[in-house]
Amino acid sequence: MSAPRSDRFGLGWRPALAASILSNLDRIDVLEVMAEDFATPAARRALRTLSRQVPVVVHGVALGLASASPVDEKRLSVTARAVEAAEPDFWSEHLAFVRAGGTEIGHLAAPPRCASTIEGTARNVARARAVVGSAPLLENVATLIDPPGSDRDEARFVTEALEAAETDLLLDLHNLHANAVNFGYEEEEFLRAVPSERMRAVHLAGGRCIGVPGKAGASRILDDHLHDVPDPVYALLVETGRRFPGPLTVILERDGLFPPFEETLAELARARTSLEKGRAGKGEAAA
Amino acid sequence: MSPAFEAYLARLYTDATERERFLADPRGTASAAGLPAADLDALERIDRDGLILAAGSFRKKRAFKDAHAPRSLFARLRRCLHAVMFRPVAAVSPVNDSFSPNRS
Repeated sequence: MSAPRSDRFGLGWRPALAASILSNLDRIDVLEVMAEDFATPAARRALRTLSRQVPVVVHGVALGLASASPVDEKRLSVTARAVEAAEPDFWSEHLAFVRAGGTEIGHLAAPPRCASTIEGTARNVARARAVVGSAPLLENVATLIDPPGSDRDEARFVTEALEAAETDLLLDLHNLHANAVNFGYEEEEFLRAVPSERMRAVHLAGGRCIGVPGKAGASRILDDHLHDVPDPVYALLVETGRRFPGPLTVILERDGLFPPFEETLAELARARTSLEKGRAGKGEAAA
Repeated sequence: MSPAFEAYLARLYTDATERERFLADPRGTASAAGLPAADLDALERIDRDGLILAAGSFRKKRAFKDAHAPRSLFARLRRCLHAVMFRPVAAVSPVNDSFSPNRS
């Protein structure tokens, strides 16, 4: 795997978007595919074909690397085969656990931000590196619950996990925004804490506020990937461009309620403009 | 935190009965699960609003995955028959509160 030399802007590959994506490859630098979608030989053949047309990176959601328990070897094998087929510049997973004690949670759960999770993450990433052939970038996750059992803030946890696992960061700016709003901290504190040399990629997405049951007026942001990227996230992308000089791969994620594809491409163009403004030391991108 | 702590969190996120018992008596319920004192202290301070929201989001996520999981022909037929004979399949609307199909 080799690192890209310039900023790239792309989309998450979703079957519903396939025709539109393939018709607009001149406006898309890179695609992000989900490792779990390529568990069969036929799917991997299709992935090889796709990766010959456009650069592809591989993203996983099922490994649960941020855990005191060992990573599941069968799932790791599926990821390894997807990475082998796509030949990506990098692959990525989440700083999350998704199962424990035989129970499948169903999605990414923020782990206890503590030393034992960091140690477990390092062990699991080392195993992933051995099986897949490279370590994943690790992504910060959104959470509706302040993770129980935590003894450090998110910025310190993410930074220490990256150091212990000897890998780099995929920074999801909507996850950062959601957590900052939900739990009352400044996004910029997080950006200041992240080691610049470990920044490799960025996710953009949207979400919405949901009410807290029984508490009028109280709400939290749900990272649902069903809505447009909100203005504060573009502002964070400007700041990201200002703070992190290395080449970044920026992926726009959308998982449903798809707008007309031109609107998606317009979001991608706005992302490009926002990062460039940050690179040039300018202010927040206008809508 | 230990694998046992993670396992208990997974249970709280997915088992509504256990969660209700826990919210009524966090320390007593978690203690019955055999967790050590440090884990009980952490659980006693749990973000209760967050637990309810997260559990709801995870439940809808599991329902969505179940509704969209690849199935055998027999399983699909059984599902259709069940839907016709008894009730609408528990559809998950994208506009439901706390629903999120997000994949990452």
